[in-house]
Amino acid sequence: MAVLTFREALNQAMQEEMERDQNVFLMGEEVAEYDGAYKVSQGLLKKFGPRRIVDTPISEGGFAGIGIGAAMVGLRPIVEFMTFSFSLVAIDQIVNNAANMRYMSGGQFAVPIVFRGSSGMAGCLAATHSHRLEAWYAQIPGLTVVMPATPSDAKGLLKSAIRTDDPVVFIEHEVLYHERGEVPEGEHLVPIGKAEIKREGTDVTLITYSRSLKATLAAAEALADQGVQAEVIDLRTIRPLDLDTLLTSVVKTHRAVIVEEDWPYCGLGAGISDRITQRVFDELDAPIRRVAAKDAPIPYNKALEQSMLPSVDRITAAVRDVLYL
Amino acid sequence: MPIEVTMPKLSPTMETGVIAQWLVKVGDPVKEGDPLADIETDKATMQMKSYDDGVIALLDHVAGDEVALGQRVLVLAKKGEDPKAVAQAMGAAGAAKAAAKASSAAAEGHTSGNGKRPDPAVSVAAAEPAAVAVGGRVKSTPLARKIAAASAIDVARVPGTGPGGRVIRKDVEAFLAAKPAAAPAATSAPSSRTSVRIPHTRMRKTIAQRMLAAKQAAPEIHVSIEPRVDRLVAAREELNRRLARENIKLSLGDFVTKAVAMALRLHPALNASFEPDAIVRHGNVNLGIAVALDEGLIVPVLHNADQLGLREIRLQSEALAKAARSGTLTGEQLTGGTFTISNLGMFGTRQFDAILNLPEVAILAVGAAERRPVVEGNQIVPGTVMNLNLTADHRAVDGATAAVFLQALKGMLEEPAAMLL
Amino acid sequence: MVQARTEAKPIVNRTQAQVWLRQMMLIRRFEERAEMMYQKGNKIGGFFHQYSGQEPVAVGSIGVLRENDYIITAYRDHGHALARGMSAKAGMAELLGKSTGCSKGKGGSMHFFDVEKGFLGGHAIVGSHIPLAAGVAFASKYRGEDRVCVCYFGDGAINQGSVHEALNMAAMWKLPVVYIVENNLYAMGTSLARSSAVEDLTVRGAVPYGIPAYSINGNDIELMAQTTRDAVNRARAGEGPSFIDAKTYRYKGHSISDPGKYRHKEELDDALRNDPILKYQELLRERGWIDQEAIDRMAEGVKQEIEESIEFAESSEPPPLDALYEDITTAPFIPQE
Ligand SMILES: Cc1ncc(C[n+]2csc(CCOP(=O)(O)OP(=O)(O)O)c2C)c(N)n1
Ligand SMILES: [Mg+2]
Repeated sequence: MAVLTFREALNQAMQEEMERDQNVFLMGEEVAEYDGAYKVSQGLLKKFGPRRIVDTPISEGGFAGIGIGAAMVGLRPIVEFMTFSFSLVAIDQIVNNAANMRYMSGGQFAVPIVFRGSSGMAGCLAATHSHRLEAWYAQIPGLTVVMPATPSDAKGLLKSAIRTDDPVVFIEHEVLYHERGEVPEGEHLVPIGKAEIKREGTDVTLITYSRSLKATLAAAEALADQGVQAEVIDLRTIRPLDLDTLLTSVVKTHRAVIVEEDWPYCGLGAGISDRITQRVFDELDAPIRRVAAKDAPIPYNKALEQSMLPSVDRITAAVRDVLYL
Repeated sequence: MPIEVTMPKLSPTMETGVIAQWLVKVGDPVKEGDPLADIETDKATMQMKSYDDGVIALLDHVAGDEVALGQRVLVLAKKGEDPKAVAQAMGAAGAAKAAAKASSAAAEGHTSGNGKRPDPAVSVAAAEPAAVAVGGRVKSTPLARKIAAASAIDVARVPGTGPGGRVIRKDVEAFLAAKPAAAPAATSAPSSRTSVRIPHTRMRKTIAQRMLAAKQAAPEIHVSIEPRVDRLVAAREELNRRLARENIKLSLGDFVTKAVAMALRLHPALNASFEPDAIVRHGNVNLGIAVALDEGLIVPVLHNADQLGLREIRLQSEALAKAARSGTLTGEQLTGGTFTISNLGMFGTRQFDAILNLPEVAILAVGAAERRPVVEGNQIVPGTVMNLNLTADHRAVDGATAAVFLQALKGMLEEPAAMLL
Repeated sequence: MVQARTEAKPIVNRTQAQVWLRQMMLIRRFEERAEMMYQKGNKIGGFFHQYSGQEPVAVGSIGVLRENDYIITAYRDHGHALARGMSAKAGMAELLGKSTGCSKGKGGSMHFFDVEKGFLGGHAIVGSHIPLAAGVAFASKYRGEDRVCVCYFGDGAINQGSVHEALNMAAMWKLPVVYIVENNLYAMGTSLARSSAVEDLTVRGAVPYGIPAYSINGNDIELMAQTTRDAVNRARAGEGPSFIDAKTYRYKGHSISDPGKYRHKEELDDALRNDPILKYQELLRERGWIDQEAIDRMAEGVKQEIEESIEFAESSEPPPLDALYEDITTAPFIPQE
């Protein structure tokens, strides 16, 4: 199996899907001549030409809407946001139009579109450029939200997302782009809505996704040294949630810690925790704990920013807490 | 509008009350001031009175029910209202609503609020070892409860080791491992004389909890002394002759109370409370006098005992004991103690140990005054002697401090005139 | 209504001109040394956009403002802050994320602020500050003051929808705001020709709204000053907004990580040959307002000032970890954690 970076895996997925389906095209700022602000679309212009790899002005609201309109009549756009922080100026299009179209039209119009791009706290980008918007989008019925953590999942999920007949918000993480991993060639499809157990364990269930998977796996290793076997689940799809995998694990371990880079209040973990509690309340031997970002805007200063992130220490402390250690 | 009557606050610390007995039934007319029920609180059985006129439309509970403070217990139909219709309208739904209101109020009382640092009072409460939360509920995890239920054990019987005494899975499993035969025993053949199972009353639960807490928290020492009380006995006879007209009879215990109060004034280290960060020496001398009741023990308080004469001590002690027996002690009569006296002399007990009444730092166990051979010079003569056994919290009181206090006490009891000083 | 201006007569006196020259040199030096701190010292992080090459736009326009006027700009904000008189120390400390920085180390390169100087910020979401500028002008008019707001943005920002919403309202309500496009021909790697249906930005930003516009060489500092003065006077007189399309050029990549390969080398060389600072030095020498020796002394002073700002920034304390929760709300902030 080839070892690719995360960005190469995404690139491969888009290439393969564009070769497979003439209706698939890529649109966004700097995706063509510049080869992508994060080089995710490197070489695509050369290969597919400007008809299918389309540079846009800095008009997110406009090109998101153009993508949605094109999708309504049968194209399958991939709309890249340079970062999801900039999707905020297009959120009206995503929420009002993309998510609602099928429903409002009584099933007559589908919007098979993928909104993708980087996100997250990527290092000194400060308050406006470090957003994690997964909880915002995951709240919207009609949207599918995907957040891969490994190159292999990045490719397999993006291919599945492009083939989905409804809008998919596909959120990458800026600091993962250079991560390397084995990626199956060709038709590698990771199903949407399926979490993956990235490490098996019996004592506690750690639920995470995207960039936080790394710290969570490291915490699981540290805990193993202390005799605690943590099961680590990578959600991969944020909406719809793979509740079965979570419940099976929690019923085994009787405790759960949710790790997320997002803000804590009304965050994703809150929603996940609620769904677990509703279903297997009687299996819990401790309250579900969450390790999230601190509840503050994202600061520029590096040390302050670091202190916001879920760290190995914060994760292990939460685990010890739910284990009454 | 019908009146919803809720569980009143009948003791300063009660969070729930048990309806010991209803004094009214549905359909009874009641006037303001009429007794409605006997309520067992954590301290005593108290009468709950009506504050309104009306007709009892609905009783929400039966005798024996434990009800949270503020939760509805009955509904009164007012003049002109049809009690039956009121009962219909305010039935189960109303009760549920009242219950929800009460529990949310209780919950509010227990959150530290808005992410601020928890207020110290709350965190102290949370750190208490007992797994009893609001309303006497046992804190336990859902899983612990499930396992307990499957094994037919009451989770309340399982000692909790989680935060705030929460019963967690490990605790239930340990409990089950320790008592493998528990379940079969319940179905084993009956013996010729049947045993009775007496469920814990509120008072029993409180006693159990407080006694255990005292034993666990305080390293105690016992120091005793044996004053010779012949003169005291004589003085008592003399005074009682004088008081006969007033129908007052001083007991030896009254003299001990007086002497203890005086000695505490001289030795404030014993008139104190031990708190987590300080020892508080109290300005007033308020003596708790333990009173044995059939259902347990209660300690009403003789306030400012050092300022009372023997006559007052007698009268007030008597009144307190009576109120204790009839379950009519007020909150004030039950709180504020600074030192406790427990007297088992009337049962002929020579000597015993008392357990501390925390946070007070000492308690005095008083034995019977007995005629015994005493050495006087080189002779053995008959004399009257009593044993005073002081239990002190060694965190706050050193052995010598306790001994010096007892020495002063002995002096007063052996030379009653000294109490006049 | 669009005026193309090519050159200006001297509208400044000698002292003023020397101050402007020094400011431009200060900004240039600031960027050079900050870049060094970023690349060599790894003391600066995140996105970092240099102003080098565009100095006359900020210096010439800010140079004709009153002290109580307002300024607001995008993320390429170091030059505007320094031209407005913010100390190099506060700027450098901000880049190093120190508590002595102009935004206490919370904002970084893209979010410089200085309330004392009426500097309402660097703003990092493209176009998002353009409505703000109209709002600031709205407040000025509302209070009956004659304070003007000058708003800078890049040629790429004209493509944001909210920009046009704001321009319309500013014109309709005759708000005292001056919009200056720093037209450096590129938005990141996208040239104006590839991002704008009409290359003349006045046609897009001014004409549809009836806003008077000027299309000028922004790198001619005195022309920049004169044009801004006219626009500002109009605003003060209650006649509403103006739109200045100031042509300029950025020397560096879009940000520190951009090699700028999308530009032809000749284009950059040409710009460097016409460096506005060298040109202005030449002009002032011609006018006999300064000699080379004085320029060298000036350069020495500027160097000194920037070195001091680095020392200051390096020796300043970073914000304590608790500062994370400070300055979020006026009332004590209650983290919902
Ligand atoms: C809404 C939004 N979309 C995209 C970006 C990313 N971005 C930052 S600067 C920039 C180019 C802006 O170019 P221009 O407006 O010409 O300003 P210049 O950099 O030339 O000063 C882009 C695309 C952003 N910050 N905000
Ligand atoms: Mg530009």
